[in-house]
Amino acid sequence: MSERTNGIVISSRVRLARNYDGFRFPSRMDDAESAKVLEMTESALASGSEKFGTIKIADMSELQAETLKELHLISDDLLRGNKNAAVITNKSNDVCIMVNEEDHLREQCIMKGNRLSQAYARISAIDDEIAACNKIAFDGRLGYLTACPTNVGTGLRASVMMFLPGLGMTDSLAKCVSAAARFDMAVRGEYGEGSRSGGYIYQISNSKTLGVSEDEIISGVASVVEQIEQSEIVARKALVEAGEVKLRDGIMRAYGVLTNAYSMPFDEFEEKYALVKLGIYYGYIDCGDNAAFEAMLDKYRPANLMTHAGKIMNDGERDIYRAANAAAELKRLTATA
Amino acid sequence: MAIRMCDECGIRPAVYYETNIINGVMTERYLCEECKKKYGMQKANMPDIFDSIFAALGAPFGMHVNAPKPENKVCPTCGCTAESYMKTGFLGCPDCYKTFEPLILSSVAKIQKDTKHTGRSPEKTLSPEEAKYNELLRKREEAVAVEDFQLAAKINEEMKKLKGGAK
Repeated sequence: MSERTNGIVISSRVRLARNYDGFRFPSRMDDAESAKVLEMTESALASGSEKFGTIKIADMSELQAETLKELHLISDDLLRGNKNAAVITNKSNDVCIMVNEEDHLREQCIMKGNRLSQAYARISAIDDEIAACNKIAFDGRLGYLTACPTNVGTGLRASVMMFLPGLGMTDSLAKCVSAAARFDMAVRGEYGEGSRSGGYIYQISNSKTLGVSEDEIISGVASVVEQIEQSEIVARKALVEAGEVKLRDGIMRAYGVLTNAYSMPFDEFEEKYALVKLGIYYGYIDCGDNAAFEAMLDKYRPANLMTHAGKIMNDGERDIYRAANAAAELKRLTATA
Repeated sequence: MAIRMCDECGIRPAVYYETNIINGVMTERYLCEECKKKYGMQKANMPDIFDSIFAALGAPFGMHVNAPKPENKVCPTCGCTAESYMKTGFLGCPDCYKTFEPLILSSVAKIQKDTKHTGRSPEKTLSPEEAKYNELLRKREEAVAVEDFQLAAKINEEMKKLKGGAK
């Protein structure tokens, strides 16, 4: 279980794009149609054994929406969606279905660690439940029909979030990006195309959804992820060989700032947190609870922080709150070696 | 000069060029008007010569050099036109795939480098064993999530038995 210890693979996500036959796509549908799409989905899920809850975007507070967006559970497209744009989730939030986004359904399963095939099995079972009750738009030649042909075929996007400071710091990411492209895979910043990645977090996903089976996509992404993981381990060794004193000093300074700062903007937190995580990997810092440490990054994102705190704060107040709480938490979870 | 298509959608001509540096790695992208709105970072310095070529070509169809010439069709189900598809990259309803078949197949071939689905279909229904297996899989994930590894191991055993019996 290397992913449990080296922290390189953060999470795995599988998304299926689906549409109901006989309904216009969300960008063209009226309120009655979008309401029907939501109702059909809810009633199909109600027939299964698992409990799901629906929240309409229109009924969400701005904070609630932003909190879910930071966790990658909902997208900007859904937030801009029609009157019946909604998100359906289960209790543990590992299954999350966006309704009336670009397609009628974006069924997603997100799991921690390197568990793409489990995530696919899980979402596939839910997809079966929905398809058992409703007629899905499907063509013998082109497969599942989607609003944009970039998703046609399997409608499947498998993506893995990876922490790649070794490749980032040794300027080797460009090689990874072009190697992955040869296998029809894309490497992007954490929040999709063009997003910055100050915390060295990257998303690896399939570009092609047609002409390949679901299993081929899942195993293809998994093998590219494995290759990148191996390259990251090599790069981390190279970093040490290039100058351990400087590297260790940089990491310990980041730790010092995180455990003592009075005000901490998120961008800076993300960068320093990445260094501390690397320090745990090298054994410069001991961490008693890896799961809690891993959860810290999302917890201190601006909206998630306010949700946890139970109050709305301005930028300055948030930075002070983040500094104090993150420092206390880090001191509790870690010790210097 | 060949027209550079959008790196994001692959079906519309690029009118923006952008570079982005992430942790010291420079990436460059060519984007069309629509994808620029969706994903773009900044308007960049696309050489003037491109602007003049696009201006000369005028309508979006002219730019789509290899695509079959779309007829002035309108989808009877949703009212979507070939022109609106070419402009936005989005279709209006599942029936559009039939209405604009040649046009869509041409852009699908470009985007996906394939035109034949080889994956699963919605007709596939689960056998009771498969349904039970999936149910166990879900329970095991829940057990792992709450770190009840004893329960997870027990469920694992059940799953193994089920798989063995199903063979």
